[in-house]
Amino acid sequence: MQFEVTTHFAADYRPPRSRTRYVALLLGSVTVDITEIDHDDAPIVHVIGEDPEFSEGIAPYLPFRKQAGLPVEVRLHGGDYFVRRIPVDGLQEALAKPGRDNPFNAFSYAGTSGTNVAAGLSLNENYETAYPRNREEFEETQKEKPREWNDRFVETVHALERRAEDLAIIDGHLYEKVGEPVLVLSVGDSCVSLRLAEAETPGRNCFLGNDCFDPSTDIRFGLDELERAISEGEHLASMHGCYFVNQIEIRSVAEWAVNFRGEAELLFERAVSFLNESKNLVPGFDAGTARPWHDLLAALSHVQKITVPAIEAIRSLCAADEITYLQRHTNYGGERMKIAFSSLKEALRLWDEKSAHGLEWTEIGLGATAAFGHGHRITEITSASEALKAAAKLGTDLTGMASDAAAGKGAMLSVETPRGLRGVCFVRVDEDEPRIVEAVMAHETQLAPELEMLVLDHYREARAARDDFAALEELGI
Amino acid sequence: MQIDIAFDYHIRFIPYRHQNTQVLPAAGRVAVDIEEVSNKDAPVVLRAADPKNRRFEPKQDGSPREVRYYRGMHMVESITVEEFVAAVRDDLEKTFFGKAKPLSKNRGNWGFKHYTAEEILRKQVKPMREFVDDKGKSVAEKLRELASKMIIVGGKVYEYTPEPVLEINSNGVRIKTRPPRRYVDDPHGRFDFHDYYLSSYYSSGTDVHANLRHASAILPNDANPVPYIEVVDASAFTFDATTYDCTNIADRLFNTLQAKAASLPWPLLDAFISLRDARDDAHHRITDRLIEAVSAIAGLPDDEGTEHRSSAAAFARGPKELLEMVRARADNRGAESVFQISRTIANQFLDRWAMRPPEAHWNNRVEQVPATVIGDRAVFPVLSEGHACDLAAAAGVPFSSVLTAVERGSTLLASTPTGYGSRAIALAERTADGVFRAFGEEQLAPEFIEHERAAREARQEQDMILSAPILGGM
Repeated sequence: MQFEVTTHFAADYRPPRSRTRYVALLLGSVTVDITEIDHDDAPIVHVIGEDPEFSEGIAPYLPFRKQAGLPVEVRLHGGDYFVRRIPVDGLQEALAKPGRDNPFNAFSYAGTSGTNVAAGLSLNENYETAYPRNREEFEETQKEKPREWNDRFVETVHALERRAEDLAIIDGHLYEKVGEPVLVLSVGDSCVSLRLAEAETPGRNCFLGNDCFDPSTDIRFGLDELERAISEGEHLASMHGCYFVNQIEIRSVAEWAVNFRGEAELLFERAVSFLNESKNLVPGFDAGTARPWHDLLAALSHVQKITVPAIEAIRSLCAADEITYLQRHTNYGGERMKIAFSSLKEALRLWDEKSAHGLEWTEIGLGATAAFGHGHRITEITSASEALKAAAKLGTDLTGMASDAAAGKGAMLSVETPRGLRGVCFVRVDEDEPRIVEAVMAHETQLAPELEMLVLDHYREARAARDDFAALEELGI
Repeated sequence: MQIDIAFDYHIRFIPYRHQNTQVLPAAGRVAVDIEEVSNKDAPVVLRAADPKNRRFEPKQDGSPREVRYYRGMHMVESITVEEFVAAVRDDLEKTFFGKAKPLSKNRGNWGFKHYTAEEILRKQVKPMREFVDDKGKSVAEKLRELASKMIIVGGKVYEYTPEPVLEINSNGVRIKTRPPRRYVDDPHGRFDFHDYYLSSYYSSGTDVHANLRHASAILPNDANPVPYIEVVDASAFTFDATTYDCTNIADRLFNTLQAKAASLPWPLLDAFISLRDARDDAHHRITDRLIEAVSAIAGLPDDEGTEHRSSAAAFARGPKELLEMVRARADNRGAESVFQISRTIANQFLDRWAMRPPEAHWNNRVEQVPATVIGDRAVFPVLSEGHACDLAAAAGVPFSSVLTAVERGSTLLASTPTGYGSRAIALAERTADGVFRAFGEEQLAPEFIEHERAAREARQEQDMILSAPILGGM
């Protein structure tokens, strides 16, 4: 459906005999096309809403803000989540003026045009004053013709079209593309509040909606873990000595549409923070502490996420009540390390209590970090959200592969170069020999034979190490 | 022999209604006594000449200077008494008495006029706010003290010098004097101004000839002439150069690894931790444990994971703090990896240890129990002759009684303070029969008994481990 969007755009010009460039503001209108989606293709998965009691002034953009006191509908279409905004009837009217209802308003979304002035300008509150519409109208207001003129109308059109791609019309309503909704326990000065935020903000370069999340103190949960989030929030509030506020309302949640689990992220962030706070104390560690410390850093430097070796290292670190070190050989930093260590312990506890839903299969995976060779890194994909991210990058659907991996039928291995993801392949043991069952590569290329060998070697080695470990465990060592 | 010394000093005063102190030079005078000693009481222990060291430069006829040993001090030959008296009269600053820092005659713009207190007071009509004329008391005291560090033997003046040692490094061979003694384990590292940092450095007070051979082997004689040195009596030299050098090298190894501890690969981090513990236990001794820890570093094989770490760093993305640590781990690659550097330093240590004089270190005779730290005292068996002499000097015990006790077969134990403001160093011997005896004091310090108990317990534990076959014992 086509709409007329009124917008400002900038033009820089140089008057005669002037060295300086000046910027003029012009008013233009652009026709954008917003796709219509059939409501059967985009079923309603969640009905959720956030009551922004404490963040009215702080975060102007809240993706899941309640509208007229009612929770919003979240629909799922092609792997993307869409949130209902306003009826289409009032859209044309809303587009003509600034305000929260205008989806092209720079302040109503964290889009490019709000942050990048070169690309385009949205309407401001002075939109009704007579701005010139084009160069001719502008020249009438000047004594002399500018000797140089460079307007940004084309860039503005592109910016608005990009924004229009994030919008859709479903069932007579305007919908906006958002990231997956997740629960956030946000620890503030006076209270611990339960909020809603996007797991990953799609296609945007700033994260206005996510400023309630700080991984060092806050915890994110999947949308279907409300009870757990509330009990954890109450626990956190009692620990910090403040009160717990539930700011959200959840009418319904479709569990099949939830792909997010926050524990791995939390454990990773807190492990990094612990390593950072304790790196100055390493010269004072004894061998019993230094070994798992070193192993944890080694595991995290091979692949920047939580893997089985990292968890084992964290476990042996957390087995002690506190980290002891020789004060004589260290400079400072003991207090910050103690805080980081206790929050690492909390994260490990949450990891052990995580919901068994099949969205996170680190522990039934290969249990290895990574293999390097031929300029490539082979790692295992161990969570549904990672699989979704890889699928978005490769432009294919990897849900089948991910569900097989989650069921323990094989391993889903990603092939990366330092510049990014190259492909994903699924390895399974077939007649006692691992085989690559399926490989999806970027740009429809083939998996090179040497990389194939590397993948299979990594799989074999990881399995062998795991079997050895299991055998040792059986012996009770 | 009495010498009259004329020197300059400052009269300090604040005139009426002035705020700042003013000074004027005045003439001071002090008579000091330099001891005249017979040739027998102060025997010659060394003849040395080093043109590059002002204190030991050859005499005008090119002959070496004599060094005598008197009351635990080394005295180096200077000029004749007549010349010395003339020099004191001419320019006090250029003689041994210059160390007292008397007021220089060339300093200031008042010329050579000396004022007296009366002259200064007469100029002022109103009374002074403050007037100090101590007749140069502080300088006079220093001059007397310096005079006590000089002797006259056979009409020649001998001046005090710290114990001469031989220094061999890439610049050649030099006669130097020994660095200050280090007894206290200073917990505040940055204030430890006695902590010398020396690169490849060999020195010796006793085993000069062996070291000279070593020096002439590594250095071209034409470019770097070896100083003349002739040891008459080796027993006057107690500086334990091996321990000093090895401790310095071990410190350097420790500091090299400590700076990178967070990014070290596991074998090296493990070796670092055992080096750290051994060094904590050493208390300026070279123990078997320290040698073991350093040999472990010297024997480490080349790092295999270097390539792995650098490719991991190329792929790393994520939080800034993690990236910094990952890159620091990968930085150890290259020709001079931390493995090679630490192996080189460890080998230096072992080479230096192998060059030790044979009888001066008693490591093979003394039971190696770890040092015991009780409160602010550290108790440990002494492992070398030089260290024993140092400790005896600090404890006020004659060297000979300590060394004869060791010759009898006793173990020497020392109790040193681990911080400031503690009791002085105490020494004790444990005879072969297990009887304790304190040196210099009537009472045996209680920490020796505590140490003995701890050592016995450690020994029993060791025996138990050795006799338990399941733990890999005998």
